[in-house]
Amino acid sequence: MKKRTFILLALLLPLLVCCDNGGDCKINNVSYYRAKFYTIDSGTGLEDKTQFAEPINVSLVVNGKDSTVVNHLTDATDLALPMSYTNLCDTVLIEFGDIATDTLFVHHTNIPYFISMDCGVGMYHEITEVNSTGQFIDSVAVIHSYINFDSNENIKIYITE
Amino acid sequence: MRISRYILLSSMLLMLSVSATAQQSTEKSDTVTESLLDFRGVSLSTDVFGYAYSILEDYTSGEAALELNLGNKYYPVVEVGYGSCNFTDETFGIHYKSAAPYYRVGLNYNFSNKRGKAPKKSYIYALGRFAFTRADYDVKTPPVTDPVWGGESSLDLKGVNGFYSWVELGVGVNVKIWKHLRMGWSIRYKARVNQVTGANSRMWYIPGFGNSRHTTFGGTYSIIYEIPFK
Repeated sequence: MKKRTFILLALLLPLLVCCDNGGDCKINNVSYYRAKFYTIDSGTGLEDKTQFAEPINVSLVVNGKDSTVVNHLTDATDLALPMSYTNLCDTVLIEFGDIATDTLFVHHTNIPYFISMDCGVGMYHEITEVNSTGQFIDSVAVIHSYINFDSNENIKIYITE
Repeated sequence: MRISRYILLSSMLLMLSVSATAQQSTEKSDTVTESLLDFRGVSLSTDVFGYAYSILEDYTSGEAALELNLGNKYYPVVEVGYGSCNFTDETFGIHYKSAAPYYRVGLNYNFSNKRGKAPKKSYIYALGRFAFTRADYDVKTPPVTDPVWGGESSLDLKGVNGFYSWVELGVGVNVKIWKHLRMGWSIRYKARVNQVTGANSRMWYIPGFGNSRHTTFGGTYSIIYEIPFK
């Protein structure tokens, strides 16, 4: 009897320490979409991640005015950008050093999401379409359209070689 | 719906098989008294801890259980309860409202009794349960402000359907008080198996489980009436 009770307690005690609080809370409940830069080898047709030695500047067009969110980012391979809670299309200006400036038009839906009483409401999104002005960006592909607090890569930006 | 039908059918089959065992034992009298699955009685109980919990938390629940006694060793159990919550959070101003039944099926295993010896009046047991609930809920949130682009967004959801299933493992004590009246308590570790979330929300209060977490602890404090068969 005693032996079995001890065995049972021994089995249950580890459960005490692995009890979680279910927390997915973020500081400001803003979800970001992640974009990575790629080039395509014209010979083989294979894509390859690319890194810019030239500094990158990124601005969001908010109420008709440019608002810089990334300033002189060097050796950039990817970007994490916020989305509007209410707009259905965000305008993003990407300045590739002195080479060129491209504009991305990111079309999306907005999904306010009740997480819990502890974490409140998060804002998730779903990307429906992305277009660019094609100055330096060749094309854009959406690979994970749903944006929440996960760190998935959402879009691939292909650069002209 | 399919799960509840399955559980109902399983419970009925279990009852029929136990009833058949009981009839056989009557016919063969002494030859089956040592059988581990010998039907010894039925217990009905209610959990008073759920009612008392409303003093501490903003939700309350009540539940009843039907338990079979097989050889004073194994106790198949069906528990049915009803939980409700009507809560407004002071930090975010979020209002959440829900009320729904929940169901558990499982087994208690008596550690104290041994074969060939007279059953003890009080015993310690281990328990295992599978539980689920399907609940509609309302959520209303105040506007949240976009820190980058400006603008506000809010939620006012009504009648969102959620499903949550979980398993419970734990220990308990069952004590004889007077004649056929018993009381007991149990401590349970609960772990989520599955949940169905809405497009804009997920369940926060889960009847029979508590607040939405992957794992949590719970307890019962029960008043039990035992109907002996032999």
